[in-house]
Amino acid sequence: MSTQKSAERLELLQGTLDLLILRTLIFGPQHGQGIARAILQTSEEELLVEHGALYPALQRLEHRRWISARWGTSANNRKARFYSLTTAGRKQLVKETTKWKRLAAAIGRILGHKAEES
Amino acid sequence: MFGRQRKPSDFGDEIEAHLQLEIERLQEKGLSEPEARAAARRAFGNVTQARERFYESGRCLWWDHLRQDIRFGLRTLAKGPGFTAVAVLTLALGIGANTAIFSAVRTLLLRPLPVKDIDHIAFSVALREGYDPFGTSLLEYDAFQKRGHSFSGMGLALQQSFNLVEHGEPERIQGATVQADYFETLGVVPILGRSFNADEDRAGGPAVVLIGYGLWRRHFGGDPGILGKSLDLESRSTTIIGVLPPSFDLPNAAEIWVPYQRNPEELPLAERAAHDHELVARLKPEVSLQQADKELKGIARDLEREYPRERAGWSVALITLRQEVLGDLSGRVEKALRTLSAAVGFLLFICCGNVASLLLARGVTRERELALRRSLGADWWRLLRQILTETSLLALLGGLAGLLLAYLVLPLLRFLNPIQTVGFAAPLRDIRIDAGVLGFVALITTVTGIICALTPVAKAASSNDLMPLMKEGGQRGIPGRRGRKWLAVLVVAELAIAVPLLAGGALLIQSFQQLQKTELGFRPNHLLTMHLVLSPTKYREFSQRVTFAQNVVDHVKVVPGVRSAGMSTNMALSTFISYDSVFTVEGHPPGNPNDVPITAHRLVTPEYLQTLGVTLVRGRLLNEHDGARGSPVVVISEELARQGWPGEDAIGKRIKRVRPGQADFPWLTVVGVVKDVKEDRFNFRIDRPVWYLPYEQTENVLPLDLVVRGNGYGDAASVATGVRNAIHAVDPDQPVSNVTTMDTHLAGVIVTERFSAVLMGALAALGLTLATIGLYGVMAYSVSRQTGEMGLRMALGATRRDIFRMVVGRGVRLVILGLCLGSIGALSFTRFLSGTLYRVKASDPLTFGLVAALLSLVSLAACYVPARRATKVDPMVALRYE
Repeated sequence: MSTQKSAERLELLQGTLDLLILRTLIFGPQHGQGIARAILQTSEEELLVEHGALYPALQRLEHRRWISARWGTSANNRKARFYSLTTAGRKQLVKETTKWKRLAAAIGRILGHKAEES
Repeated sequence: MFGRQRKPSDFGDEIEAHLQLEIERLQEKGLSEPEARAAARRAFGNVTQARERFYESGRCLWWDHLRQDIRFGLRTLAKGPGFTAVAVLTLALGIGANTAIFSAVRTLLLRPLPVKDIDHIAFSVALREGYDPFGTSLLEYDAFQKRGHSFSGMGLALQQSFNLVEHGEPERIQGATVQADYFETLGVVPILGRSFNADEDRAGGPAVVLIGYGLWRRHFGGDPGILGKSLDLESRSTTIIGVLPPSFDLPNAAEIWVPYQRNPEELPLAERAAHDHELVARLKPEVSLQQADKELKGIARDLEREYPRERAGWSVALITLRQEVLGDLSGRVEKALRTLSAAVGFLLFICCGNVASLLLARGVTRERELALRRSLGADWWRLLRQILTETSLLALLGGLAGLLLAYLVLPLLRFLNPIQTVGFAAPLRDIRIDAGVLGFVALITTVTGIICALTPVAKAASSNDLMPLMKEGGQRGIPGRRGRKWLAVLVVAELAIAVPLLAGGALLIQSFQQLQKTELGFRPNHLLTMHLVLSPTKYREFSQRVTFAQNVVDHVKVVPGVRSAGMSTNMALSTFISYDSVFTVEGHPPGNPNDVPITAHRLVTPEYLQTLGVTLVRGRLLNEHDGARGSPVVVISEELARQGWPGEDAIGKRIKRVRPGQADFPWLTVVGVVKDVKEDRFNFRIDRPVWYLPYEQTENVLPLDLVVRGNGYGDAASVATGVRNAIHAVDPDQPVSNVTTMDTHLAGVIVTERFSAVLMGALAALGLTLATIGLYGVMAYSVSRQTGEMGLRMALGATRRDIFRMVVGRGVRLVILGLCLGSIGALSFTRFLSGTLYRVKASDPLTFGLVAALLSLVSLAACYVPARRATKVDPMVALRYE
C-alpha cells in the first residue's frame, strides 16, 4: 500500500458510496472493514475508500432502513458489527443500479462522441 | 431512529473492531504489529472526526446546541444575579406596559362583539353644521334602500323605554321598536324562541315581544318555558316569543324589543323627516366603508334637492357600528388607544436599549471569551445564536414577569375605562388577558429578545479581526472606537425615543388639566340626580305632568338633608340625548336661509337653576310666577346673548323657537342672562348657547330629570332613599332610574381624556426613569472604559479640567444629537395628538422646551457624575489598570 498507488486511485463520486455498500452487501452480511476491503478488491484496487468515511454512510443507510445491523463474530473470531441488506435496501439497490447504468451510459455516449470529433 | 438510540460507546467499539480486523489482515500480509497498526489508522483516516460525525448525525444537532445554549445562558444569568434582576425587571416593565395597553386595545377595538361580523356593519348618522350627529330619518332610510347599492341588508330601530310593573318596584326598562330586518342585518339569533317575522312586522301585526338575556334571568329566573307567556308593557299585554343572547343590548342598552309595525310611507312628511331612528346596514363584502359613505352622501345631496324644506343643510355620514357603540363619533377613543400603543412601543424600545447597554457593558468583558471561542473554531452562526438565546431567556423571564405586572394593572385599566358606552357595556368594559393577549405577549417577547440581541451581535459582527480583540484583553484601558460607537448609538437612540414619549405625556396631562379646570357654569358638588319617565297613558294631559312635577319637587324639598330641588327635561351633562332647537331673534332674521342658529333646549321648573347653582349675570332667574298663565319668558346663556345680540343688552329682547312645518311658537322675552353652562356632554369642549324655558309654559312629553341639592351634611345614599320615597308618595308606580350624583356623572364626561392622561403620564414617567437609568449606565460605563486613556493623558500632562471637559464634551455632543432627533420625532408624534388636545398646542414650545431641558439635565448629570469620578483617578492607578 504505497503512497504512490493511493494517489493514483480514483476518488469516489459523490453519492456513489451508498450504492457500492448496498452492492457489496448483496453477497451476505458483512462488517465495516469487510465492506471496505470488498470495495477495494472488486474495483481491482482502483477505488479509494477512506475507511472512516464508510461509517457515516453506513449510519445513514441504517437510518433509512436499507440495511440493518447486529453484533456478530468474524471469521477470525472477533466481535464485529455485521450489516445486512433489508428488503427495502434490495429495492433501493435495483433502483440505484438502473439509474447509475443509465447515467454512466449517457455520459459514456457523450464522451465517446466527443472523442470521435476531436 | 436506530441511529439516535445507538450509543457513542457502541460506535467506538465498532471502530475498534474495524481497526483490529485491519491490523490482523495486514499482519497476515507480513507487516509487523506497529507497522500494521499505523497503516490501519492511516487507511481509516481521522478517527476523532468519524466519532464526531457519528455524534452529529446521530441526533438533532440544533436541538442539542439549543440545550447547550440554554444551559449556558442560564448559567451566565445565574452567575450575574444583579445584572439578571435589573434586565428582567426592565423588560418586565416594558412588556407589562405593552400587554396592559394591548388588552385594552383588544377589548375595545378587536374583540368580537355579540353581533355577526361587526366590522362589516355600518351605522348611519345624519349631519348638520352646528348640530351633534343625529339619527336617521325615514326619508333617508327609504332613499338608501331604493337607490343604494352598497349594502346587503339594513334595518331600523327606534329607542323606546317601557315602564314595567311586574314585581313590586316599578322599573324603567330600555327597549326599542325594531324592524325584523334589524336583527337579520346584525345577524343576531335568539337563544330561545325566534325573532320577529315579516308578518309580525306589518302594521296591525300581533303584540309580540323579544326580551334580553339579563331581563330573562332577572325577572323570570331564566325560566325555559317563558315562550308564549305574556308581559304587560305600558298597560298592553304582549306575548314573549324569544330571548336574545347574553350581552346583546342594541340599540342603547335595550332589554325589550317590539316589532316596528309601521308603514313609513303612510306617515306625514314631517314625521318621516325626523331624525330619530337608528339605521344599521351590512356592507356588501366587496364594498368599503368609504365607498358606501360616498354613495350615501350623494343620495343625501339628491334628497336636499327633492325636499329642500326638510333637507336643506343636511348630509349623512357612515361610521362603523363598533365606533357607534364606543360612543366615539369623533374617533377619540381610537386615537387615544393608538397614542398609547405608540407610547408603550417607545417605552419598550427604551427598555431594550437599557438591556442592550447592560449586555454591551458585560459583553465587552466577554469579548475575549467570544474571540477565544471563535479562534477555537466556533462558527459565527453559533455565537450569534448563543447571544440570541441569552437575550431570549431574559425576554422570556421579562415576559412572564410583565404578564404578571399587566395582570396587576388591569383593575386600574377597568377603572379608567375610556368609553362612555351604553350599548355592549358589559363586553366593552371587560378588559382582560385572553388568548389573543397571550399571543401578543409571546410575539413581543420574541421581538424583544431579538432587539436586545441586535447591538451586541452587530458589535460582535463588526469585530472580525480576532487579533486586536485577543490583545485588547490585555489592555482594555484604551477601548476601540468600535465599542464607543455602539454605546454612542444607544445614548442617542434612548434620548431620541424619550423625547416624544415625554412630550406626548406632558401635552396630554396639560390638556386633561385644562379640561378639568373648565368652567362648568354650575356647582356640581352635593347634587343628586335621577331620571323620571312618565307613563304616557297615566299622564295623558300636560297639566297632569305639570302637577306631578310640582308635587314631586314640593315633596322632595322637605326631605331631610335636601336644600333645594328642581326638574329639567334634560339636565346638564346628561348621558341621554341633548335636545336642541332652532331659534330666531326678533328683528335679526338670519341672512342666509340655510344658516340656522341652534341652542340647547331646556324646559325647567322654577327652582332648577338655583338648584344647579348657575351664576346670574344680568336680570333674574325663573320663578313661580312664570307659570302657564304668565307671559312667555326665557333665561339665556352668555353665548346665546353674544350670538343673538352681539354688543347689546339682551334683557327685554325677544327670541323664539322655529321648527319647519310646525305651528308658530310664541315670542319669548329674555328676563335673565346666566354664565355659560356646560349643558351638553358631547360638546364639552366648547361653549354652546343654551336657553331655559319655564316647564309649565311649553307643552311637551319629554322625560324629566330631577336634580336635588343636598345641604352637604347628610350622605348622598340616605338622601337618595328619602327622595325616592318622596316621589313614590306622589305616585307609587313611578319608576326612578339612573340615581347618581353629579360628581359621578362629571367623572364620566372626560373619561377618554383621563384614560389617556393618566396612562400617558405614567408611561412618560416610567420612560423618563428608565431612560435616566439607561443613560447613566451607558455614560458611567463608557467613562470607566476610558480610565486607562485618562491616566495616559494625565501622565502626559493633561489637567483634571481637560479630562473633565473631554468626558463631558463627548457626552454633550451625543445628548444634543439625541435631543434633536427626538424633537423631530416628537413633533410628528404630537401632531397626531392635535385633535385630542384641549387648550394646548400640539407643538407647545414651553412643553417642548421643558422636556428638552429635563432630559438635558438628566443626561448631563449622567455625564457629570462619572466625569467627576474620572478626574479623581490617580494617573498611576489608571495606568496600572492596564
